[in-house]
Amino acid sequence: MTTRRGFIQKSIQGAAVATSGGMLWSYLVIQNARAEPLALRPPGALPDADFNALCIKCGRCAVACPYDTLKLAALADRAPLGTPYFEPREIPCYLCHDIPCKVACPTGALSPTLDEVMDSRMGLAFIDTEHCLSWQGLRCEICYRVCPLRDKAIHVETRRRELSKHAMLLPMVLSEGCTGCGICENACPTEIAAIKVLPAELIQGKIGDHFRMGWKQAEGAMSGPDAGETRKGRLDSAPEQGQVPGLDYLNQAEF
Amino acid sequence: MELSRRTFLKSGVAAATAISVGIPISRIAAVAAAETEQDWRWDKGVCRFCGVGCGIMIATQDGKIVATKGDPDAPVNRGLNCVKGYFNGKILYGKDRLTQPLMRMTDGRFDKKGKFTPVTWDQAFDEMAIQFKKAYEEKGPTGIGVIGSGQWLIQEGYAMTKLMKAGFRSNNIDPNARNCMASAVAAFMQVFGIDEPPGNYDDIEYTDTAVAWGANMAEAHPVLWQRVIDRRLSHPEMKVVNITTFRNMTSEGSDLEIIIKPNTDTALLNYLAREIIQRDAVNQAFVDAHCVFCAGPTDIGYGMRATDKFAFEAEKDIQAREVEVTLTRDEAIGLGLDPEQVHTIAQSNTATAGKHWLVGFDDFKTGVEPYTLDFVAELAKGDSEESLDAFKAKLVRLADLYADPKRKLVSFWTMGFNQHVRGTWVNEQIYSVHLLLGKIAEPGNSPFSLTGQPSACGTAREVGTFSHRLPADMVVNIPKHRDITEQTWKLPPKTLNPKPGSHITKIMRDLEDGSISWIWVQVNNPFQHVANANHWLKAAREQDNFIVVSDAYPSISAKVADLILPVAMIFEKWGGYGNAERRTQVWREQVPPPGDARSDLWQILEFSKRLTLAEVWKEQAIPGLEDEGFEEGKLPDVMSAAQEMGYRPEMTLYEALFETPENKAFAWPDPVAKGHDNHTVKHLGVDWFVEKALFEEYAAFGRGHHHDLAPFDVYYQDDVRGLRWPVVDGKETPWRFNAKYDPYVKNGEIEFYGGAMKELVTGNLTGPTTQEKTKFPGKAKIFFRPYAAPVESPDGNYDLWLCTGRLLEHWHTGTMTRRVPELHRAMPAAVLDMNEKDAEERGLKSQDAVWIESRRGKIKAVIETTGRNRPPRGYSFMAFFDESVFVNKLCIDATCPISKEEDFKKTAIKIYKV
Amino acid sequence: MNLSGILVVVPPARVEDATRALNVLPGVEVHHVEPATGRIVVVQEAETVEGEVAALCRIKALPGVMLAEMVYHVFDETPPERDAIPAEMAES
Repeated sequence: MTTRRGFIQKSIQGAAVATSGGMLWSYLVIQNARAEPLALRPPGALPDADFNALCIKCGRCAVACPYDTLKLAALADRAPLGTPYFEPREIPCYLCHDIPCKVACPTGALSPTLDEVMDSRMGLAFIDTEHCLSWQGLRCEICYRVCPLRDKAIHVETRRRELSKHAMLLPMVLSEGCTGCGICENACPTEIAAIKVLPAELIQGKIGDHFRMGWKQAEGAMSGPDAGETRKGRLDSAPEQGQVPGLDYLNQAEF
Repeated sequence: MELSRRTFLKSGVAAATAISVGIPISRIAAVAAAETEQDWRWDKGVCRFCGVGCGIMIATQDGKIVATKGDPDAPVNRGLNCVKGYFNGKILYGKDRLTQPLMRMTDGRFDKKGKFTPVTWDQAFDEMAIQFKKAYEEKGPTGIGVIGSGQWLIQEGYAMTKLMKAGFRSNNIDPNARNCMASAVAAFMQVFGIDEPPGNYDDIEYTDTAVAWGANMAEAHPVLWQRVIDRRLSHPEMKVVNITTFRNMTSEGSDLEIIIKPNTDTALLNYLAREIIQRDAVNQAFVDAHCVFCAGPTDIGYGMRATDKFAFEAEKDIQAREVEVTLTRDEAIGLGLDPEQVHTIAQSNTATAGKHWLVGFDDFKTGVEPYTLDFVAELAKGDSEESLDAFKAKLVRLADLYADPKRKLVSFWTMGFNQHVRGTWVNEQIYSVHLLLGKIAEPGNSPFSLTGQPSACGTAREVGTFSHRLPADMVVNIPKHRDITEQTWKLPPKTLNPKPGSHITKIMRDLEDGSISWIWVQVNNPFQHVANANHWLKAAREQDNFIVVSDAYPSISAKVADLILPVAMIFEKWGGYGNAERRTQVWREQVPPPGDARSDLWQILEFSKRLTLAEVWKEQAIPGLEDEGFEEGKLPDVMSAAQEMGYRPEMTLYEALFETPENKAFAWPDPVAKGHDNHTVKHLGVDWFVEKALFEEYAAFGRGHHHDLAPFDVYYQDDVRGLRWPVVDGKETPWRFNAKYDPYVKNGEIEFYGGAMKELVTGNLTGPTTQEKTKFPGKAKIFFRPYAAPVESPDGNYDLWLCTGRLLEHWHTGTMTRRVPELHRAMPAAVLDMNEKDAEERGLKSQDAVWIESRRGKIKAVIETTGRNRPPRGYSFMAFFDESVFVNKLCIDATCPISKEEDFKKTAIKIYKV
Repeated sequence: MNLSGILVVVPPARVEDATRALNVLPGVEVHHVEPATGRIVVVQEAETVEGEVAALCRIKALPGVMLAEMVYHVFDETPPERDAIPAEMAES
């Protein structure tokens, strides 16, 4: 019998040989490059560049995972060859208290400083509100109820439906609390999950630093500018030396 | 099995290749078969699951359900569903659907110890009849039993009731609704003299306050909860209160959450009554005109066996309380006794727990006097981490909401009240509060008992499929009710058995002690859902008895059976359900049943062909029968009287009870079918419309007697989405007992016209003091009921409370919803929700596997401290849908002694790491 | 042993011919055919890397083949006595 570990390692060797074989991989490389940012990494994974530098593709995290959540990327998968990733619709990360994958990592690609698994940030859930049952008014909210950080990572807001005398109970993701474990994506009852987890940088927006929501941040009120905030939020309106913006336009003769 | 490594690698290589170039695997194999909605046939139906009764539309094509949608015209749900309802169409198509009869056999013959083997319907019914006759000849009508359901279609429940009561002359028929609604029913009958709520769901849109008592509406009545929340969002005055023993999803939509200790709801309601009186908030004119005051015995036991002969060793200490109990200090105070003395009470009214008598308002006032804020707050506070002052403030706020004369208020309750060793009492107490305030029977003011099952009202209660009931709220032990029923059914006098039969828990106990040795289970999974399951599993498998289970899927009960009959499910047959607001809704057969599966109705009718009148209408022994007009312990031979009426001894029960000339007059095919098939009729090989005939025969009981149903065809009209009975002159009745809405009110504006138990003797809180009976027609009763401690509470050994219940994702024991892959994936296993600190104290973490042990059994499960329910210290919750985590092996089979409904909410357990 | 996954693209009209021709080549197994787009997935088995390259050239030379690229590759050196994997892995 081949052990699971043996089997995984064998596959990596096979793939590695192929890479060094100097074959015609151009098509594949494009595919791979396109897919790469979609990969969800194990708890504690460092940012992409650091992770890729440190991960030696040993497969120990995948072997340590008690739920078989972690897989090692094959050539055509959404992550660089041999690196660990998971697909929550198949098996999500169940957030083990003792984080065995991190413990098994020999290089620190999975950060040894992650102590509390709920602090991990593997990705961020987002809801396709067009296809979410709850957002259509049905009583589902399964994502909310299965969420290990309910009310911190997903909460439910009520809203009037207007079409009838029924309120809607709308699940919403709170990015501050979401670990990206994907238990919600796994449990979602629609044919294709209406809640999905992706790396946060792919889906998360950002409001410009120049604007403060007055109803949320009291510190913006009449108390003078906060040095740290204004440095980041400085408006790009001051002209650079020697240039008078708009002068060329103003000096044009024609109207 | 081992595959060749090479084959495996190759298929992996091929798949990886395909994926990497964007060829989805599914598409490679997919057959391009785009089905267009134009060819679909849409028709109306009702959701298969809870008591809310959402309307759905069903699309079929080529004999298959291809789609469903929430019915936009249904007033209950206006096109919405919950996630169970969303999967209505899928429950028919589980992979392990049963499609042929299966019998335990060895060498081609029935053998109780044999293996399940496919048999023909003839073989199945032959053996079933042999075994039936064996039990019936030996033990008489009390030796057989039927366990039915609040999910029976109206016609199925009616046919089985008629077969059992008129045919077999047995009252041992009881639905699982016993364990769902019986306490509500008992209270309706005792308070109003007629079953089911005065109000309806529209009360939500008229009210200013919704108080949920022991009802996690957000999960158990999902679509109705949306209406409560919508009212809260749209009406600034609206306040929602959740009174519960643990924080749950309903708390999230509430303005006020009150966490109480188990069973202290009885004390809390007495506090409210006392406050109403103290604050001079009694609606005196209403009370004077429409109410009387009542009390009853308190030494009524807990519905357990009176003997420990069958108890496990560990059960015996609790079981002894059925004979004698020492009152707790709080109970003594609540009864107005000296708490410093020891009060040991013999349970002398276990058999007469429901009797009651008239008392005066002063007696009532004396009764509630001990229930001061200080006493009740100390007793009822359920969260040890909440301060007493904060809790007191909540109780005062609750009293403010109830007592405010300008505020309209709806009280909702379900299993927290009903599954309760004092379930009938606590139901009565909530009516007492509403009646004192006059907040009843008008839009927005309503005590509203929510039902759990889709036809707990429509079938179990209205048809009367209980061991003591007959259709239209009649009961077997009242001679006049038997007379009416015998006349309607054209039976010889004294055919009907006047002695109430065994309720569901007692049927199980009867199996255990051998007094019943043949049972038939339909639309129900009692071996999973009845508490204290280890006893009943053993009784079923190890005693000499014969168990027939009609089921669509291999449930625990099917596994326990000797004979399994495969059934047609919901939309594979014609039928009707009645929801919690008295709304009767119907559907046509949409698709044919698979394989040899047959409707429950067909099974009842076919089996009735196996017995003749001579076998059942002869003299029968009924142990303990003492009713007037009957020889002691006997039902008379009625065959000669029957012959005078035109019956012949060799006639089958089918001919005598079902294929009557009146019923045969309803011809099949019928235009109402609009081309839809009827496999019940087809398989019976008849030309009469069985479902319509039985519906009309049944409806005759209620018409003119406060329970009027519309004609069968009316419910099938395209523009009808169910009608709330009584339907008089084509009009439904939204609010009963109120002259503005209810044509049955003849005297004054408000009249509680229900006729049962409206003549009583008078006395005081301790007992009757006169023999003379007083009549009080048209009035409702305000009961005083004291606080009573649970029969079993946590102690040094079993140190945690366990409560069971339902979840949004799964229906009851999961036999249907666990066949829907999406629902199974969303909620694959039941977990034990418990408090994080309780877990820590036991060296446990969330997701640890533990043993859970009670006096009755031991199961393994995973604990969760961050689950959907957040129990306070000392409390835990587990859902009962999951047969692999068999929570009913732990639960105590104590019941409310009046309603005989089990208390699934209060078992003492201990847990330890696996 | 070398296993390679090869994507072959032919005009949709010639999918059947190409499939037949691929099937008779030594070591080639056709796993998936997508008639609408003319895409065919084959697995090529060869003893050596040189053998694989030769085989790929043979496929490229078939009439109608517009593209044949190696997309996935496994090099397997499991001794024959271990040519079995646990059933639970085979299911995945």
